[in-house]
Amino acid sequence: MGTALLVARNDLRRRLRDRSAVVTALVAPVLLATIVGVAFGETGGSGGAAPLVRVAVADHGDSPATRALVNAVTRWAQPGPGIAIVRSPSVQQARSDRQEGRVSAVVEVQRDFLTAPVIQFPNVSADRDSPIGQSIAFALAQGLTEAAATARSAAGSASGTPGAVAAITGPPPIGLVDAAGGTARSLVGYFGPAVAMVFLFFGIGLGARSVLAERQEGTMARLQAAPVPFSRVLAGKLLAMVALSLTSVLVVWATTTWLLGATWGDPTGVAILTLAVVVAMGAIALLVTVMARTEAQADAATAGIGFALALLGGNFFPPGSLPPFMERLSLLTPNGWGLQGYGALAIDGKGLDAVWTPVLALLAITAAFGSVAVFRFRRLVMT
Amino acid sequence: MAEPVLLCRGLTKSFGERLAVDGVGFTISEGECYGLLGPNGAGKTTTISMICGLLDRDAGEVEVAGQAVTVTATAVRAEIGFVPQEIALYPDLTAHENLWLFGRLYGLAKPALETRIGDVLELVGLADRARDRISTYSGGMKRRANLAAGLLHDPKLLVLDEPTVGVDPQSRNSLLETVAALAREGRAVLYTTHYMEEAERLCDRVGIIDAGRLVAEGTRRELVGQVGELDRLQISATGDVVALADQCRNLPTVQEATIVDGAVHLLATGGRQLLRSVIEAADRAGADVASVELVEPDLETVFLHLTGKALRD
Repeated sequence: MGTALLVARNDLRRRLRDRSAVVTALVAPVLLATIVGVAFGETGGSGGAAPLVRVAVADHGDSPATRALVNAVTRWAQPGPGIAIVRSPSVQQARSDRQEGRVSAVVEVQRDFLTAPVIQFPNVSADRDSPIGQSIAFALAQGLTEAAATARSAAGSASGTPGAVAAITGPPPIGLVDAAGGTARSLVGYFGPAVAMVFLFFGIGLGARSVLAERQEGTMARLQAAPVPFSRVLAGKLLAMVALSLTSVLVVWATTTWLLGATWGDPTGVAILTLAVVVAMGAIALLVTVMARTEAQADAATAGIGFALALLGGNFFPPGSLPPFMERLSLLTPNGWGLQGYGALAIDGKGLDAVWTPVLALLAITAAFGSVAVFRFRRLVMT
Repeated sequence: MAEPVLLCRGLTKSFGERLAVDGVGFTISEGECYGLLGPNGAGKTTTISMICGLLDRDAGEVEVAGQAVTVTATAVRAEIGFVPQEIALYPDLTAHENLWLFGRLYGLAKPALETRIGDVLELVGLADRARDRISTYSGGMKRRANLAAGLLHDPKLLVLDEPTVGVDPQSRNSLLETVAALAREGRAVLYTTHYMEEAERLCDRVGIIDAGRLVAEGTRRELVGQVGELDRLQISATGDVVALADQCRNLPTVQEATIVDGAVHLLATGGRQLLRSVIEAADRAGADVASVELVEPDLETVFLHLTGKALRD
């Protein structure tokens, strides 16, 4: 372990000295987090700016109780800056607004919403290219459904009357105040790691290519000539790469959490999952690098495979928006498993239990790709 | 005879279809400097990579200080000081930082490491630049720092792979002097080069390698003797030059004596030993010798004879 730490320390010192560590682990992640925050309207200081996402809520206007409920829910929902929830005067108006692009999503409450034998989930329609609008609309629809259930429970058979709605116009019964804003913050908590993983792959690739560069420059031969097992030297190199990569993700986490108020979910789960993601991505990046004949070839391969993994794994898409076969395909990628874990923590609000399956899958990917990479690397150096 | 510090036998290595090293074997004793001389691509670097345990071999064996060398044997590497052809140092670190890292990898610890770093930097004349980054060094200084890193752990066998490539004459001279001093101290030195003058100046014995095969080895004189090349003497004299040529022709080791542009040209074996006889022959012939130029066959001649091509082909 002493040798690995010595080599890792040396690599980190060099990366700090040429400032690439500062860029990789600090500057770029903070920029990345800021961009994600701006993209999702979570900059926190844009009070007067036009909202980036508008969601309309409408009912058919034939039930005073339903109207009161929708008014109340719309009033409670307080999303963060950049998001507006609009109370439409009619369903027709809401649909027209969506068709003409004035709103991104519409929540339509059914005519018999409060009187039907079983509460119907409101209709949601949203633009495909507005994942946030879609998610906020679903959160509102869920809030309305739960509010209706509360009203029914409080008023019994009289749930269809305006009086019943009074039962839910007091303190919010379902924490709906935070429903839409919380969803947006969870989305930042989801897209933060999603984008960080793409960046991570390129960052690790950069580290892996420095190993090839050392081979060409001759320092690898000197390290190899030392009276220590070469596996420890290689472990040190990998340790430095993992440390920098882990730091970069943790900086994105810290920035989105503390500066943007995002929620990545259970911290222990996030930490374990992130470590597993980093080593799995590292194993693939190392394999890509050592399979290449030149650094230029490694660069091209890393870029191509990085984007392919990002697309296949669903890093650029909102949670749950991939077609079923793509969802299955995404599980062939480490980032796909990572996203599943981050989604469970950030969007679904699940705990540590939700990360074990992704972590095991990621460890399997690490073992498969990592062992081939290390074998190939040793072969490359020693034969 | 003392046990050799390096013993290698039958070293063989192929890269795909190409046979890079074919059954190379030699020994180096304590205090001996052995030169592996050959053109670029002859197999020198592949040979020393196998000797240092950096490269897996297809066949053959290597022992350093009585211990077998393989790619997985680690302890024996402490006996070897490897100086690669490239400047195998981190340019963004200082000489001290580089040496500290490699010293720690060789198991040296404070305060012995600090002392040793000071000693080797002093030896190569870089003590005053210890805290400067390698990237700020001249080419010659980088080469000397490269050598210092190979010496840090006081190895029994020092392996230098073309250490003077791209170095100015002054730095080359300094490096050669340092290596010669290290051999005199009792270290075994394996020195690869394609510069014939370096091998002649520095090495006690030379192995000539071409196309992966060790085609001949021995001292310079033995190698010249093996190929049977003759020394050439050019005698400038006044007086009876024809009589001088006749007298010289009768000397026992002279094979040919001719007159070219008023000077006597001799082809003979043992040219140095012949000098006194030439002066005596001039006395007998009534000629006054103004100068004698002796041209002995060099390793370049030997290489040409053995391989049919020049060293720098």
